[in-house]
Amino acid sequence: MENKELAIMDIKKGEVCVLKICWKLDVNTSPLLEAKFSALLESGEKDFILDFSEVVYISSSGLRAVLMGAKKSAAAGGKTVLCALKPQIIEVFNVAGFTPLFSLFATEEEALESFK
Amino acid sequence: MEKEFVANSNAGQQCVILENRIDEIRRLSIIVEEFFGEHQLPSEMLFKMNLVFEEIISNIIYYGYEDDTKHEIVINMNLLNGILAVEIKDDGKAFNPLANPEPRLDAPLEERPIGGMGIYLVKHLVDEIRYNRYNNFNILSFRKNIRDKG
Repeated sequence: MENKELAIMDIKKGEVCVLKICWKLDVNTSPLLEAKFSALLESGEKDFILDFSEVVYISSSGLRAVLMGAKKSAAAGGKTVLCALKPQIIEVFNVAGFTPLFSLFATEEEALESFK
Repeated sequence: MEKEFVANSNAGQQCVILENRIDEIRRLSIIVEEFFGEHQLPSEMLFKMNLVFEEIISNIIYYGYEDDTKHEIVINMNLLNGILAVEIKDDGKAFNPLANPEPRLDAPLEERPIGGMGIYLVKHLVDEIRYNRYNNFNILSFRKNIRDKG
């Protein structure tokens, strides 16, 4: 069996928390992203960049985790932006009608700029 | 590098039997990946088909059963002339996922419902899909032209 764990690194850049998500956001791993979001929000974080550069797969469970995190960070007075999405991931965002809901940036640097 | 698909060069069939456990979806994705490799099918399609499988199977596992016992979900894949035809059969309660209302895609972030996206994605990623109830089985069949990039 492949490793089921989803690797998520969180790196603090100024006031913004960058979550680097690795590999797949599927029905097995997406709850881990939801849990990570919740834990960071509880510890007082409210601004997030989701770095998708390593994400090769997303299903509705992954979309749900991203949407829930974004809603909660907005409710906490912050925001969530996304960067470095691969074309196949953007395609799923488009089909799901997610593209207008989020600010998408090509790079992490541009995403960070949006918080200034 | 993606291998070029050659029409008619391959035909194939595969039957996969899953248990009604969520971790079986990962096993299926590996089998589908092998099937795509064996028949040199485009990798963009692999992502889409695995997404379609995950949504349909997780829907069955989460909502299909009214007991806690083991059930089988039988998947038949049939590739011919660049068309992948799939039939997914389960013995859960009668449920037509295609009859669910479509989610509101125009709602702003705060009002956007959290659920209901899975089957919507499926409908938009396959060319044709239909549901039948037959002999106490739910049968969901779909077709996808694998030669298309879209």
